Amino acid sequence: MAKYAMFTLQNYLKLKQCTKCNSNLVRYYCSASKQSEHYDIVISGGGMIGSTLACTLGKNTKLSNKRILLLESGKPIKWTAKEKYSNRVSALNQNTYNLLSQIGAWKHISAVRSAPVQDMQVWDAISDAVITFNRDTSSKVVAHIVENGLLLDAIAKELSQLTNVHIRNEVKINKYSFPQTSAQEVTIELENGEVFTCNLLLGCDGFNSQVRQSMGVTFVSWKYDQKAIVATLKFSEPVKNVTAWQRFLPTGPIALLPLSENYSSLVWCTSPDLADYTLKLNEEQFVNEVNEALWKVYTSNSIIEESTKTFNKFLEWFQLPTSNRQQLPPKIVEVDKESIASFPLGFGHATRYIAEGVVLVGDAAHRVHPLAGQGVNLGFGDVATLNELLGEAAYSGRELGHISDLREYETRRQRHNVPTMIAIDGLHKLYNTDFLPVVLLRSFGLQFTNAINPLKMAFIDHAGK
Amino acid sequence: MSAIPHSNSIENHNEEERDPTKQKLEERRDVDGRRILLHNLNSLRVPFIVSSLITTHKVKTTLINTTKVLEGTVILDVSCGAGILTESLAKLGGRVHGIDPSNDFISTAKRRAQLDKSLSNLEYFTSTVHDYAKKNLESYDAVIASDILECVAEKESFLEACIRCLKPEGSLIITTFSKTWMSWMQNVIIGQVILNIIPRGTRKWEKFIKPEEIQEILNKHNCRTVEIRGINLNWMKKKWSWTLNNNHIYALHAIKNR
Ligand SMILES: Cc1cc2nc3c(=O)[nH]c(=O)nc-3n(C[C@H](O)[C@H](O)[C@H](O)COP(=O)(O)OP(=O)(O)OC[C@H]3O[C@@H](n4cnc5c(N)ncnc54)[C@H](O)[C@@H]3O)c2cc1C
Repeated sequence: MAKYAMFTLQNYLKLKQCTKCNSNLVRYYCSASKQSEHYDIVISGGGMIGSTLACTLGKNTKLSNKRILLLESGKPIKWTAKEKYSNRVSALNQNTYNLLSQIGAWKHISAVRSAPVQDMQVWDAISDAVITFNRDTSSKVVAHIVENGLLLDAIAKELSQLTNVHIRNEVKINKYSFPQTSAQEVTIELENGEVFTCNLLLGCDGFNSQVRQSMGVTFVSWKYDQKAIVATLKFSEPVKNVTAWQRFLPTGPIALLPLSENYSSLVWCTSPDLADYTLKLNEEQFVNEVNEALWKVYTSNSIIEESTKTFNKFLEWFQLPTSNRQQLPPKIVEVDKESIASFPLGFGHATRYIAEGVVLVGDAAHRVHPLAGQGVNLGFGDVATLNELLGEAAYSGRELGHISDLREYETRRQRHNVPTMIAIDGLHKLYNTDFLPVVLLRSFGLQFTNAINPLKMAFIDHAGK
Repeated sequence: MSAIPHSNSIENHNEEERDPTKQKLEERRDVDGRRILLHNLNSLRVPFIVSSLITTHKVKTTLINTTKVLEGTVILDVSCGAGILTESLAKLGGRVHGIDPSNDFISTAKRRAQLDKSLSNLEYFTSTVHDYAKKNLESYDAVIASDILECVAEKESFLEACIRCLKPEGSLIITTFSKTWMSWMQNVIIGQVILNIIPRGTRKWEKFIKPEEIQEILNKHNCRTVEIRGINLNWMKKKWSWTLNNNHIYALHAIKNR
């Protein structure tokens, strides 16, 4: 790519210093900035998905001759292991774990901390229906709870060793120009005047994706009338903390994700009013609210009780196991005040993930309700598929970002993501009501999934893909 | 490019007057025409060629799974057309020579190659394989005849010339159409007549050849066939895939005995 004039960071810094003392240079700098620097791949957005993608592609031997640039609007992350847990954690499924192990990031995580989830218990506050997820009785791990900051730090450690990946932090992007006719390359103009060109732009800039907006693809989206409250909670006594708990309340699901013997992480989705009220409480009141949400006995409707009893009989009749007896989550005694925060929740899906020379990855393409803890896992699935397809294309001597490879990515990912997203949204809608027939339906649903093991396995397997 | 020679020579001829930089990019991204078929075929034939050269130990083990996997190998692409396959092989590091009797094709191929500076390991010559073999005896680790045999009347002398260019223990790799009723239906009727994907008349069923027939010729000329794999084309999706049956299209790998 010798035809592209190189305008390196060093040059830029030199010029920038000079501009302070000589205004003539400003003009020189401005004209110099019209020249562009070329990369094979530019990744916009260095969140969990963008950085992992940069690292995965950078380590793919089939792509080792490609130059990659990662652009991130934030500062470089500095993670120092504190005793206190961060309030932003993710439940990473087995496929994500495999991907992170494969690129060498998992060893940095396990050297610090992560919590395995061996089973999940989901139960309904109004009916008694319970579903427990674990792979038979063996102690196979269903998910790993990892702090987002730790994950980013682990990826950054591996990225720093790659010579083919360049990282630029604190960039502001002015404009993306995509090939109109198929005769152009993607151009990225920064607010400081720098220009980059690339063969393939990967948009990993989150659910407000500027890349997606510039592409002009339709983004089907809605806001849930809910907010998520997150916090780090402490138990009354150390427990064998390997269960993820999730209770469906009329106002939304509340979940506890294990961090250690003493701590779990809270993700509580509830109505905005209730969330605002809860956020204003002192620590003691906050803890009381959480315990109430986990323990409160709802006056269960007699029709539901009768129906579920009959349903259990029916299951017994067919010799299917009836609902596992519900286990109870540990009692919370403390909250880390500084860890309390809230996030708005929404659903969004881009009808197209690709266009000529550009691909959307992670939340930029799809955003889900956190109730199933799938958001970032869908994105990691995108990363694995894209890496495989781009690697195979290069190994077959094809052009980088050939539209037929991009289409294949879109097809494969939409085939996985859309059903998952619809299921999650459906689950949310199903649970966001105490209207009787729906409650009945969902309690049957829960009991039925609990009874039929293969179906439950399929549920876990799909979530794991 | 060799699979659809006649139509393309006209297309490419017209493109000559255009700005070459623009054309290169257009060609690179031009995938919706008939070329998509050939581009997509690369996703089968390139890995087939690479794995053939790996099994015959022509590839350094340290290079497997890297973008330079073919480094150190010398490859001849016979009837290379405008170089779709030739370029792909060069991208993987092989020293690749493409020959084609058509001047139009070779000049298009050369123009395309010039626009990608990284392809310095790629050369084109206008020549028939018969003439070329005279000056290039036993020079190549692999000779490729992809989608050309079905257009050749004198198959035996064509194959014999290809074999002469091969070093002993070198690989001859062929992809072509099988002469069966199934292939007649699929390729002649559906491809040429109904869908118009392959221009009419470029593929004559009479010239198709069964794998056993090729094998026989190759045996006679001191080559042992080591692999035959069926190829399936999904006409609607324009996607190729491997299949167990050799009734339509197939890839063949033979090694020249010492
Ligand atoms: C409360 C809550 C709990 C959650 N829990 C889970 C869970 O348990 N499991 C799970 O799988 N998922 C969970 N999720 C979802 C998960 O957090 C997201 O799916 C994930 O963060 C998406 O990662 P991303 O890298 O695609 O996007 P983001 O994390 O949004 O990253 C985008 C990055 O791009 C940068 N950026 C943005 N715009 C630009 C620009 N114009 N130029 C350059 N850079 C830009 C941003 O600075 C950011 O670094 C949860 C979400 C919430 C809100």
